[in-house]
Amino acid sequence: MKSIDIKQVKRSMRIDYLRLAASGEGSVWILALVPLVFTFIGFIVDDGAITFGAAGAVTAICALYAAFSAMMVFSNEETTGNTSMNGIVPVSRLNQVFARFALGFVADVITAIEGVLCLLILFHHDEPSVSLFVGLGLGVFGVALFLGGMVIPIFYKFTVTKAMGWSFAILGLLFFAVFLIGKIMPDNIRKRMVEWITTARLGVVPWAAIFAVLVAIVVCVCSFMLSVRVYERKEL
Amino acid sequence: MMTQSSPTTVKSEAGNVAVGNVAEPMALSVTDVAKSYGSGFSLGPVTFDLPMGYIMGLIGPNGAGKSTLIKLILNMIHRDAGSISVLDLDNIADEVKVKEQLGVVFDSSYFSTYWTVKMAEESMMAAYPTWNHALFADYLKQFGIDTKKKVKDLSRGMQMKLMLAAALSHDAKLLILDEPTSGLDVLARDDLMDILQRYIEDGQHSVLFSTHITSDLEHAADLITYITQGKLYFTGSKDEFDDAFRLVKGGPDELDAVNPVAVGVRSYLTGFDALVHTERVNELVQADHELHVEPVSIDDIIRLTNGRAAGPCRHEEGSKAR
Amino acid sequence: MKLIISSVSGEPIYEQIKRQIREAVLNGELKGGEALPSLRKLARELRISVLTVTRAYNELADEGIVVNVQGKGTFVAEKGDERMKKKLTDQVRNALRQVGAAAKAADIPLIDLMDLLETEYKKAK
Repeated sequence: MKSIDIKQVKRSMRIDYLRLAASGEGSVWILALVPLVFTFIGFIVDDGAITFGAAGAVTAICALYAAFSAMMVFSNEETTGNTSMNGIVPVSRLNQVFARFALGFVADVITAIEGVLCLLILFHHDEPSVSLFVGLGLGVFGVALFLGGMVIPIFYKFTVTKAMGWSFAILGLLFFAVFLIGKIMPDNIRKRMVEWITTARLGVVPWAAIFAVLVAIVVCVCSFMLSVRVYERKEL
Repeated sequence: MMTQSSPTTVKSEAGNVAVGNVAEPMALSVTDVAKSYGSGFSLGPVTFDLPMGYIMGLIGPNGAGKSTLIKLILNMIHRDAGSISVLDLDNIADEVKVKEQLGVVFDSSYFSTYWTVKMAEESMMAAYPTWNHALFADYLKQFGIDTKKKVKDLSRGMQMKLMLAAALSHDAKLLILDEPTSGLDVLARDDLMDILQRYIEDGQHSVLFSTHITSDLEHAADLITYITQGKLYFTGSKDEFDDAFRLVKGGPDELDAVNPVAVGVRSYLTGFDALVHTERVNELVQADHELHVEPVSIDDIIRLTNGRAAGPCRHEEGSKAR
Repeated sequence: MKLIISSVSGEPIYEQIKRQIREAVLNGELKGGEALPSLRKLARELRISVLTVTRAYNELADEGIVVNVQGKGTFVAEKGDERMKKKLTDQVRNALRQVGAAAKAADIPLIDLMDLLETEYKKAK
């Protein structure tokens, strides 16, 4: 089995980035500015509800953007006839997959930091605890990683339109499952869980957040192995 | 009306081609490669060699399997059997090393159409450690390509030239072109053949060029590999290919004598064209001196070795015309 | 050096090349020791396949008219013109022997044969 080669990964990451930036490199970074707009609004308007709403928007946007940056690469690749290039470039399929995950990971880190900073600005009045924000940041990061990880193998297997359908179906199922579990769970267990989520800490970092990120990483590793399997079988 | 006996592979040696008869290293070696699809189409087994420093034309009608073969060489699709060696490296085990030295041109652009030419170059710069920016810029100038333009705004011919410029700008030792000339006019095709001949001029570079426009190959191709209906029909020097067959023409009543010997026949109201192996022409001519024998062009060979119906048979009952 | 390739003459291209080089050597246009155009460069300029030129050069080398020097190129053999002349003279001699035999078979005396030769020689070329 061939191994991961940083040289090749770098080549492929650069190309994937160019795919993201296809409509102009500015567009990549402009999208990153959107949360800042909400932050600005939430900051200026000193109304609790609006601020909270802005915070919600920021969190959601960051998580989604991070999770679906990989999807945008797939989309650009396919709709512009760019997939055949994958058969030509001197990068093994294993490394192409790794590069895509790596780029997603980097996007996740950047948007998580951005998200945390925005939230810090929004809630600067309330002198919130550091651990809350670390927790939120890691939480956003974990969610993004999880979503992205889940979705990437689907995009390797199917065409973009089909993959989007499957992704939303699976995500919908996931949320429904979580919802069900929440409903079924006996009250005392649920209480204990909420307690744990809100209080347990490792130093300044909430355990729940660490747990979320760990789960996401496991999902990503499995998703990576699955993606490699799918992609190596694929006929370009 | 077309009749055709089952194709027999005509092979010949492509080995002793060098001045002084010193064996040349191989740019590409395909051995017993086969691939079948669920749809029923199958390619192979195919075996041929391309020695370093030459241009090989890969010819055959549409759907014959030429693009399939090229994708197998690039490992874009997986082969069922056989082995492929590019520049003395295994095309799967050393895939990355192979691709670093391979320049590829497809019949449609593989760049993202939203990219500008500049971004397309950046993708190539990222991919190839041996990228030569100055050389690429020269080619762009020569081809008249504006770096600020988006790939989708380039004409088909320009898109092909962009791929060609990229393929020539990272010191690739083997150039593979899949139907590069379909969108080009005569002048552009002429330019392309000149570029390819310059490319191989130092004897250290080679070209595999798949096309169904055989006139491009009539002059500059050194070797021919002919694939039809998924089978290898011939591989060897182009001169041998031309020389392996003759076109035999005669009247309708001479057809019966020629048919069993011919590889492919097209008959019409007033006679027939038959493709016959050169060795067998003499026996036909000795039996019937009225038969007309001509040298054959690549197009004739392709036309007469494919069982495509040319049109309705025009025999009419009671017709007096013969 | 002048080299013209016709794609419609029916004569194989490598034969055309050989013939024209032989002629150039014979009439002194190409001198002994002189280099022939580089094989690949010639192929590119004439727009013909490298193998075709290779074959022409190789066959001329076999005939002794040119010499392939590995790594340097192809050169007209020293006294290549002499060798050519000798070869052609041999051809003439063989042809004449056959003519002689044919003349004897047809009962043509030598004197008449020589007249015939003179007439045809003047007509030729």
